[in-house]
Amino acid sequence: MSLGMKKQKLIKNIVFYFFLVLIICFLDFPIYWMIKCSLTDVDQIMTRDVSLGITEVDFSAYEQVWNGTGFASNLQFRAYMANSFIVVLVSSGFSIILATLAGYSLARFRYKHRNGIAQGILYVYMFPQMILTTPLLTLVIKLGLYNSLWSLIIVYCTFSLPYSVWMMRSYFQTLPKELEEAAMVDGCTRLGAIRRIMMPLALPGIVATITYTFVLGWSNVIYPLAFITDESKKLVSIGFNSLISGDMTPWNGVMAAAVLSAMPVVLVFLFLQKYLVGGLASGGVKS
Amino acid sequence: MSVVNILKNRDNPTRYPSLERRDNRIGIYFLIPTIAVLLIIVAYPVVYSIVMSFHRWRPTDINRNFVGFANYVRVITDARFPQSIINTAIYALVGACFKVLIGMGLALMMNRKFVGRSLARVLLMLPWVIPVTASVTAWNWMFNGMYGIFNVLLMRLGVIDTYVNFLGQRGLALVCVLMVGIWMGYPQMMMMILAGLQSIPTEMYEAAKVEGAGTFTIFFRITLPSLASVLSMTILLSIIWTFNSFNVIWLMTRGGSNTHTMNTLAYEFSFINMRYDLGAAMSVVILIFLAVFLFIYQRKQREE
Repeated sequence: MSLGMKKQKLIKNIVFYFFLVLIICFLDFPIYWMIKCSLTDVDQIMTRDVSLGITEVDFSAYEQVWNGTGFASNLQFRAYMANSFIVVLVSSGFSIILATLAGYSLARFRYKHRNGIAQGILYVYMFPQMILTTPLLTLVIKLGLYNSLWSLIIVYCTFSLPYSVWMMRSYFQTLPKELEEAAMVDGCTRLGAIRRIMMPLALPGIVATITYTFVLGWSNVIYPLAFITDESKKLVSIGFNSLISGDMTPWNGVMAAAVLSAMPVVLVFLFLQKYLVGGLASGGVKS
Repeated sequence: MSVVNILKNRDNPTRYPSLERRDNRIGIYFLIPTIAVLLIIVAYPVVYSIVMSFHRWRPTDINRNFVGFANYVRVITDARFPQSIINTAIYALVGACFKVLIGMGLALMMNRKFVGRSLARVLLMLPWVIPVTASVTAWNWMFNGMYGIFNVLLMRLGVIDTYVNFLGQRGLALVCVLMVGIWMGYPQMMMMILAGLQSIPTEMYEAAKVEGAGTFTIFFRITLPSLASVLSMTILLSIIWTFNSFNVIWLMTRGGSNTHTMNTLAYEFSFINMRYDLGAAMSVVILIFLAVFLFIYQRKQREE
């Protein structure tokens, strides 16, 4: 490679990184701002004389939100957090168990209306949640599950189950058929082949799907808004909204609560995102 | 039957019809739990909504008479109805366009190999990962009419001379809501398009480079055509998702300042006005619009 070309490549790289950093700063600014404001003292936040950088690091807002003291005395933040975990994990887990079976079935067995059913399940995922909310609410009240986490666990399956089925079906379609056939020739039953051969292979797809439904469930708003009024049963996605009250809003506290509420899902995403990329690549778009 | 024919049939599964059929029955058993759950939590509510929309149905009132199309007439003649359709169209079409364009640009950048790629990918995915309530709260604070950073910055730059109430002004509020929606939705498009890009065989690029094709030629002659099917699906999915979105608008304006979409209006009917019947009628209208989209989607898929 000649010196001129090397120089050209270097310039190209510098330009590329320059734009990349610029774009990332621009797009992540709201998140940066959320963190910055959460670390600001309450007297410093309601001012027009702000600087863009982080000038102080004050964790008192976090402390008050977490412990439910001071401005957050009406908040039960730790309970919200636990509730969100229970609802999202149980509904995602339940969905993935059913979806692994259904996805495998739709990808491997042949029977009538197989593709029609698969298509129908995808359409269910595209339904507006609004049309389901009122009927589900009446159903939940009839079953005596209003203000119970069970209502949300069941209802979250309306989006996590169809999505999981679709993902698992696409994932199983990418796995070679020959492996289980070989196992069956060697004397495994169909169920044995599924358990010993397919499940371990499907693990990355399962992890990707759970990651996705975790993210979806964690930020759902409409169902916890409609089904839960009891303070101790609220989810983290709507729990801290009661802090916002016009001019009296303690914005540093609201931002601290927002950062805390985002923490679990960001961590889950950080650890599992490489599966998510692979999972999406194998089946997120392709039908 | 000749020997040749027997040999030919050796790998044909229909030679063991009973075994094959039994095997496929297991497949149907696998599917039954999912179908049963979806019938209860999705199909039943949809039918329930349709029934509701033809009755007088309020949570505070046990009188549930059949009223024909009265709820639909009431919804369609509501002053906010036409605006909600226009807003939904703007929100879905303009929003989807920007999401796909930004997603496309970023996916092309992320498709290169470079140091720090996975960090960049995580940072670009963050707007989608952060829970909607958390990020919308941050945006609301940034748009704040008294101390919001946008007001402060625009003032310092001399663009405005009095503080603007971004979310309280017609037109402007819709632009703000649209911006936040795009910000939240582009990462998903980026990931889908990136997955599509990674499935294009590298040989094609190498061949084009050997032929001396430039960056633009490669993009328009190889990348875009190879991406056509992924892209058309991505755009349609994006339109449907944006069409369905309720969170951003509800959390930012509660449908105020002329920002109601069909979904927020349905929510307002049901849970603010406590008129389940009107909300149900509005939901059915939404479903009809959605059916048109799904029809297009299905035809598109059949073409491929």
